[in-house]
Amino acid sequence: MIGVLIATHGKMAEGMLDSAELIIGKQDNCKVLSLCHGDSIELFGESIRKAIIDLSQGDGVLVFTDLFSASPYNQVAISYPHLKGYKYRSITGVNLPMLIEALSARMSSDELDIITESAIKVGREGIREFFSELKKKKII
Amino acid sequence: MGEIVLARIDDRLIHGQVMTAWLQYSGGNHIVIVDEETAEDDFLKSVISMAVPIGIKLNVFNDVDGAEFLKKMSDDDKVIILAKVPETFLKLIEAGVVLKKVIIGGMGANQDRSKFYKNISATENERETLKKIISSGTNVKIHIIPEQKSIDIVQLLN
Repeated sequence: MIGVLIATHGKMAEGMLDSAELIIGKQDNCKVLSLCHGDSIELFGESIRKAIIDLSQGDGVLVFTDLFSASPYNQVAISYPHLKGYKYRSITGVNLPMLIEALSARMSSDELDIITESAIKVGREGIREFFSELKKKKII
Repeated sequence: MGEIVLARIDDRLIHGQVMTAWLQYSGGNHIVIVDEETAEDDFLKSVISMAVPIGIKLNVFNDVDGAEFLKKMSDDDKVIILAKVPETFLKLIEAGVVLKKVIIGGMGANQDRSKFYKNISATENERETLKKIISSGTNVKIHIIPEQKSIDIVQLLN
């Protein structure tokens, strides 16, 4: 089974997994990491590398972070030279639609690249605005 | 002659929106990272360069090259200097770079550091280095994000 790691600023990671589990049930092979005020960035990077290695069960790991070029994303990025030989993808801008898509899709597929693409697609499509939706449907 | 608009100590160097906020606040147009480990690592440099907004120049130097560069900035340069540890700024000062102020933005806890102020931690050596920076005539303040007020560290070092 593809592993899932969520790493964010503050407790968003825990919160997102909590929300996702509320909707689709308890998840296996899934870890969350929170970077909090005063935490060492080196230790956070080590935790990320350890989590990716622990979650690797042969099918690879999908890593979600919150902001492009911010610390959690950067720590995943700079871990690349240490993780050669491990199969993983790193998606930033995590939202609940994409997380649920990834967690659900891994139940029926072990194709990391395909799940990565579908998670990104569903994440993008999940961002909508009410009045624009009404206009699209010609309701207003 | 160019101008140093910000000199900041931060373990994380450039990181996302924090950097965007400081660029706006300081009016900087050129980020100079002084960090030996980063300067020698092309992969790390390319990851960092992804975080730099369009239109902002970036250089990464070790302390010797960094000091040389900072002593002959071009006229339109408004430089933000970033380094991971206080020691780097002391080396720059000793090499003749004039710094009015250095701010501490991020020094996270680790096994060698003890709590210095709220979320800022420092080793004994780092405290001594900060004292030396202050006695060289450079102000040192803790200033995490632009909107918050800065904290003078002189009392914290006694």
